[in-house]
Amino acid sequence: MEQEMSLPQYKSTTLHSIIVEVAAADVGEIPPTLSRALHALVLKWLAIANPAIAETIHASQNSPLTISGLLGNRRRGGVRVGDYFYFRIGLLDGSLIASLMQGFEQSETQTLVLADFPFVLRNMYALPGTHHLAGAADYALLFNPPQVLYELELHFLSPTSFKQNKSVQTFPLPELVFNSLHRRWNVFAPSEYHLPTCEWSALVTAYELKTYALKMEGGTEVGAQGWVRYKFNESEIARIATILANFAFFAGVGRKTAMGMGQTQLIMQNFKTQNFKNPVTRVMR
Amino acid sequence: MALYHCTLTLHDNVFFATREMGILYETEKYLHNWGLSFALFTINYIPQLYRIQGELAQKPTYLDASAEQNLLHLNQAGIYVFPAQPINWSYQINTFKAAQVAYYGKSKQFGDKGAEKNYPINYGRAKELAVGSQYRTYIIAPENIKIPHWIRLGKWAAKIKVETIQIPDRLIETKSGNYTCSHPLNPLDLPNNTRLLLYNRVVMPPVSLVSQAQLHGEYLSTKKEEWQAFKSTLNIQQNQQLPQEINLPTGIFYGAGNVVAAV
Repeated sequence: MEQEMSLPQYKSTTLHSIIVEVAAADVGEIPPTLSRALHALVLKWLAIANPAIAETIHASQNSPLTISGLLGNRRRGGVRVGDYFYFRIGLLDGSLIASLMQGFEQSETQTLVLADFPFVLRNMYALPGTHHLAGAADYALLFNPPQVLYELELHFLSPTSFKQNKSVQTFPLPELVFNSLHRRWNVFAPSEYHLPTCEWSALVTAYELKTYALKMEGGTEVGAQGWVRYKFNESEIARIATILANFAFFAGVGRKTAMGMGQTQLIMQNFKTQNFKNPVTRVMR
Repeated sequence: MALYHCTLTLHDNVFFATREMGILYETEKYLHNWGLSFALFTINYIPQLYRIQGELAQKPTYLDASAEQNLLHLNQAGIYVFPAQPINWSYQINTFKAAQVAYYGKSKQFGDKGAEKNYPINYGRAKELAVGSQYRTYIIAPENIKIPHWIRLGKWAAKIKVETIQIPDRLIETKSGNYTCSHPLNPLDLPNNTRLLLYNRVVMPPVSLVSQAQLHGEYLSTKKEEWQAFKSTLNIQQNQQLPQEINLPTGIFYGAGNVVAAV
């Protein structure tokens, strides 16, 4: 196994969800997924400010980044000039935000070309509340949730899958979802907030899922999209699950979260969010 | 020094080519403070050049001390105009046609690479801020300054009405620490002792603005009760124009973050 690299000297206790808004500068068809292009763009911004950070993240097995696909309304007849799109960058280490913004600032006047399609940068939203997907949190805050939820509803907004016994599992089983989150939490959270190992005795009480294919450069990745409700009976397990469910908004769940997969949101009761409209193709029912 | 609250009402469409995307030219909804400063204070404070030639003719001179027309004149006069925040705004998209002239650039003729139509593509669409849009800005300036009631702004020299309310000194106190400024700011004009912590960035030339910024440093803040009492003395229209509170950085001036531009 490859030696894990970390960013100890940069560690910060905050997490961020940043939205970058772009506009199409041409007419035509945008490729269905721009995962690699967006990932390369974010790393380029980080490299402009600090090449060492970008290099470390690139070599890391636990990326502190989650990056959504390109979101927004895609017309049937192809994109028109001026159409708005956006993507989300989740930062699990708050110290990266300064470098990211610095890199963004230095390249904002250049033409942005993603998969041979030109865009212009419009805005960057970093302040919580200024965009429905922009957010910020702190590991200490997440570690002390105001309310322990015994029943959790997670919305998988982009195709989500997991590695299980050297194969790909598309159903978000409780142990796969929460172990994935648990592992990432313990990598990025300060040591005083590390969570103990859990036996996930949770039940799936309801779900509405479909499998979708995300066309990546290296081939098609299939994952589940929709919502799942989990029920926990033990209070300590429920507390840890609540922490991790809130963390999921920033960290994503499962495989390839820096490539547009596993975008996840905890849905509170009586609270509906605007669904992501992803450029994905449904392949199975 | 005094702080003035200004409400700008568009009486014409305002157009800036903030973003050029193919044939679409889009105006950002925020108004840049450098453009506003020229619109408000040219002639009386910033020299209005009759004619420029040579290299200077094509060069922006915002903070260029060697150029005659620059914003550093306002630093010397103690004037600073903040970017304008949209209060209510709408857009109008107008299609325009460019003349077929030799110096305009080569049109794509039928059969050319990239030409999809059988006629020269020589038109564009301008996305302009529409008449009736309203903006808020602040001006820091001497007590006796005369702020014009009408200005012209943008590429079409659009007419804008300026309504000014001077905020009495007794309503404002200076504080220090972390604060949120809901008003857009030009990061190049922030003093070195003010730190930007977190912000939204509005990409626009010549310098992108920041909005909803969380900052650390010294700032002007309205005293809560006195501010509400003052607002209640105004007429309904003026009362509605003023915000619930004001937090603005102190020590701000053109190019404050740039040592060369400092006075």
